[in-house]
Amino acid sequence: MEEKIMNDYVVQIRNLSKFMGQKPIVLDMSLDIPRGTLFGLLGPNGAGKTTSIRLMTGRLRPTSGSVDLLGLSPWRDRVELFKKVGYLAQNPSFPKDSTVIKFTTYMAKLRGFNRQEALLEARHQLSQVGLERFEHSIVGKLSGGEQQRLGFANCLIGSPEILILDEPTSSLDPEGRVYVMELIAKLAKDNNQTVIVSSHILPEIQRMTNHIAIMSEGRVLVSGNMRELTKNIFDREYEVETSHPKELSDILIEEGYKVVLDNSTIVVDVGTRLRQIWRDLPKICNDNNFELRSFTPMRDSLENLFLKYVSQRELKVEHRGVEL
Amino acid sequence: MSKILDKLPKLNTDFFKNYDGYGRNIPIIARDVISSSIREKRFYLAAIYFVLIPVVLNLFNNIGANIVQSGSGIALYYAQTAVLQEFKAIYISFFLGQILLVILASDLIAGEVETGTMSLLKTKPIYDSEIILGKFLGSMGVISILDLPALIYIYFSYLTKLDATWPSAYLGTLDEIIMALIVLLLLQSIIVAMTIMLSTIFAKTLYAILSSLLALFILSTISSSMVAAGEEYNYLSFEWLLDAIMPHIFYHLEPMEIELAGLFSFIGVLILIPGLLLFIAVVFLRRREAI
Repeated sequence: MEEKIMNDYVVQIRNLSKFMGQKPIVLDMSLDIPRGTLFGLLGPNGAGKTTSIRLMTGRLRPTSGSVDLLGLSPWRDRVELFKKVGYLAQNPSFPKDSTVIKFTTYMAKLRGFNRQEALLEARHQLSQVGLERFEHSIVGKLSGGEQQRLGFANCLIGSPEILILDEPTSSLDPEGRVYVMELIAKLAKDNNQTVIVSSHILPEIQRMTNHIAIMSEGRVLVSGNMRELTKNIFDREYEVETSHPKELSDILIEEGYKVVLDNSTIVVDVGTRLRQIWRDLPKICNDNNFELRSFTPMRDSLENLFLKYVSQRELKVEHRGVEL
Repeated sequence: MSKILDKLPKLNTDFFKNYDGYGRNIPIIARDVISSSIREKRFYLAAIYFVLIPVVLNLFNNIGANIVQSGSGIALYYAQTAVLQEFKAIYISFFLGQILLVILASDLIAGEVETGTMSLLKTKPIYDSEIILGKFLGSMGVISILDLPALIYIYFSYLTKLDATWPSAYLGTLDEIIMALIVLLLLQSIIVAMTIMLSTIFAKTLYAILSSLLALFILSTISSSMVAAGEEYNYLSFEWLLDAIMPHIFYHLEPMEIELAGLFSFIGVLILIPGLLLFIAVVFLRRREAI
């Protein structure tokens, strides 16, 4: 039974801390990542996402606490770990003078493929990321997006059980971002891999992942299934579009709502009266013969969840600072 | 050059094909070091040096054919000492020979750390010792490519100059040349191993070059002081080591005061020193964190 529970999590982190000098970068982090999930590590810049990922991949040694990845300690068992894990660093560097196929074949050989197999594997992975046309191009002459795809191809060599991707869209243009997000979702679906991806961009995490952890100042504030976490999160501010914005705005103010009229859009702060606005608004529009065109929350649920935890945390830190 | 390397015969047995244990990545990394080094300008700079210097030295060497062909002991002594002096001037003296070795090896680790490509190796299932040994052996391969033509040139130029026929019984035979190459490579491997170690410690190419040259300069200064103080055994001097070992290799020369057992001890020490330096490099690479 215990073994079954162990197997359900590919990553188990307990009380993990990493200090750079006296400064804590990751502090008392505990996290479980279930097998087969698309896991998003979300947080503002400087939250400790990259350091956490480097700790998970054995690129950094923990100051205290433990990381267990597929039953291995990343710092101690780095070689065994990378037989099962593919890793894409944030802004990866490549040998600039090599050709795409030569570099990928070299990486495949180092991954354990023999000479012939390495070439086949390299070609397979390059075609997976849409780089087959660039086989004989010089790596240094590829665009940022193409280099990122090359990084993907490298990380996919050997079809690892877990893919760890550190801000995979950070250096990409909008088109590249969409491509990478679709690629990640496709890979996870086709190969049934566990994908751990870090980002500070909420919509990307929302689009790519189904489990999340929100980090701030080196701590994990909340983690779990995204649907579960956002189930009871509602926004206070709603956008209303109507045929008579000025008139509707005046009526809502009379009813006691906080309203801001921005051109033809009404922004309503519903406070604690969420259920009531759902009853009031259609009724007001109906009674006054206004056309109600849309009624949508200003932010989506993940954004609210993020703000809720991160701003709460910031308030606590600020408060502690005043006490000190 | 890489095309020539690709055409070299390769071991192609099933055992080597499917071997998945420790050490399988060493030849892969070494081969990569060789193929990337021979595309670089500094390799050609070194190649020019290792070809030009023997030619220039040969022009100014005045051993007469008549002296050597007389076959007397003193004539052989002159001929072989002249070859030895060339070896020392080209490979061992604290001049361009050593500086070029340092420049060739300085960025093997530091360069990869600086450009970020070390992360690519560290995120593949490769032991740190495989990285270090692969870089070291690849580097020694590059140096062999540089050494070998010069040694062959020296050998045949002397044969021609002295009007001798191949294999000359007077000047040296092929086994002597091969042994000479091995001893030279062992001495050069100390410089390469030291540079790789410093490259791993500092992780910056410039610091690796400066610290390696400083270490060689200090060794050279201490050994000069030892000579000035009348020390008989000057193990810190590469020139002294060459003087001590080479007479055993050139058959007819009188060796310095060491026995044959001493020769093997010397060669053992020459293997141990790079081994120790590379071990330190592995420890530093193992402990290096990706900041």
